[in-house]
Amino acid sequence: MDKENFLLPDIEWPVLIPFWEACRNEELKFPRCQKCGSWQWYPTIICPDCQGEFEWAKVAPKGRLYSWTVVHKAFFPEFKEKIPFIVACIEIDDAPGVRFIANVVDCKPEDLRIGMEMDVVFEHIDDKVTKPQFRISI
Amino acid sequence: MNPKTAIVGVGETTYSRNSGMTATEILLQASYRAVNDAGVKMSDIDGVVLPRLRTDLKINEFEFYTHANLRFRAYAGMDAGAGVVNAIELAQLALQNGQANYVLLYIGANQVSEKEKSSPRGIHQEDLYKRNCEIPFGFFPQPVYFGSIATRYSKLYGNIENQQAAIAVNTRKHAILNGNAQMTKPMTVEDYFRSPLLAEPLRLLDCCVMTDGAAAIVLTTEERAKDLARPGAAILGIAAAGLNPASPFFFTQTPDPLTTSAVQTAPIAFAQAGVTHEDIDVLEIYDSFTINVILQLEDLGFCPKGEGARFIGNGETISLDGKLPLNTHGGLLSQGYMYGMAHVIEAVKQLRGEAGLAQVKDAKISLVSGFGGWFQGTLILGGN
Repeated sequence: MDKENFLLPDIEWPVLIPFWEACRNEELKFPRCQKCGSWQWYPTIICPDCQGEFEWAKVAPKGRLYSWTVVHKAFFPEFKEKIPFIVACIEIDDAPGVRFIANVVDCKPEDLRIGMEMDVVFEHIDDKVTKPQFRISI
Repeated sequence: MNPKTAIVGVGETTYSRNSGMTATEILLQASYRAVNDAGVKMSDIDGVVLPRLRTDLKINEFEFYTHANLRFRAYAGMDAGAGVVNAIELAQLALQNGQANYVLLYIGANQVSEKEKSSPRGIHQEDLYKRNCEIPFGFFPQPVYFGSIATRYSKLYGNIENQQAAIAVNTRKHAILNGNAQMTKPMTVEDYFRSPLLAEPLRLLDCCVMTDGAAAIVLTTEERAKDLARPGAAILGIAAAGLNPASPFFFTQTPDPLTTSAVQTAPIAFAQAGVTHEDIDVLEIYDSFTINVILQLEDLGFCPKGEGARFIGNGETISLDGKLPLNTHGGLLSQGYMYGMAHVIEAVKQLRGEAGLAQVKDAKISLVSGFGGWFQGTLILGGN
């Protein structure tokens, strides 16, 4: 078995297979309760509000910047070539309650503002893994 | 009327980066010291409450809470500093119900010398949601979580770098006086700003140390405490809660990451104690990161949300001769990471007049704020 690479998600983890599949198709999907319509992130087994079942629903790849930090230390060796990098949290416009984490690309930290509009873009790492990333909306 | 209870014995090992002992040995050493300090025998102990330390990943109760979206007060299984306060709350219940006469609480680990087993980072690394949704983007470990929280705080309420420095420098001063602290080199504000950035705006000196060590306390009823040779510290008010989080373990998903559950527990603890904020002589706040101190200070009600930095100013308020001496033992930042139990022990020592060079004059009431996994507990203690 290859050494674990912390830069990559395990796209075969059953809980998130539909999520990573959507990313590969450059779509963003999150779990929405079929019964009461509430969004849930991270996925839960059943809806804590109404015990309904979830479906993976497509949303526009847009959100508002909630928080971020510029990371200067490589907490895993894989990140040595990445530092310093920005990791941010955005609130997805179409899915109230969903806060979503990714890196912000093509931007200087001083350009970031709480609440600013962000686009989700897709970075194809290889033929299996596509990572969502954030970019300031223009 | 429930019988009152008191902390009557405290015990600590040396805090270091290499205990040279097994985990069991350090837990025993701290426990025997607590029992001896209380003036009872180990055979008198008829109750044990373990502040939950989530090192066993085979049972992941946090996952259950997350799925069920639970928000609650008072159960066994909170984390870190909140777990310590929650365990004291449960010990009190056991004493009040007559289930036990002397209750022992102990916590500790070889966090440095047995890092693979006991590092607080491990439980976050193993979690599959974090492994797949956070770590690939570099959102890991705790300094990154709190860097992100501190960024949001700073953008909403203003830059807090000088106050972060004031907390770090003030806490180091206290550690130097303590006699059992890992970090004893004097620190200036310049030293603070020279320390490397880890996750903006957090620097190395905003972060707690990792520790080999253990700490323990003994509780009994106030009635029994009267017969013991040494003074106890009466529990005046106590509450622990996880009312705020949707997901106790996921720092990004909690509804408001700038608000801790101290907003729920402090009013309960103050009401039980029948005291006000002005009555607090010593304050011991779980200080895993400097920003965490600011958040809890606000949520405990010492100042409004967003004004914690102004309250701390250049550190005079929280110094030993200030209005509200903070983390008089050196805290998690400089004494050692003892999950918040050393905060409780210091709160007891201050009331007994046994805090040595860091003794706050005429300390009569102390407050401990324990935080962990987005749970929080407030404990108010009174001296004789």
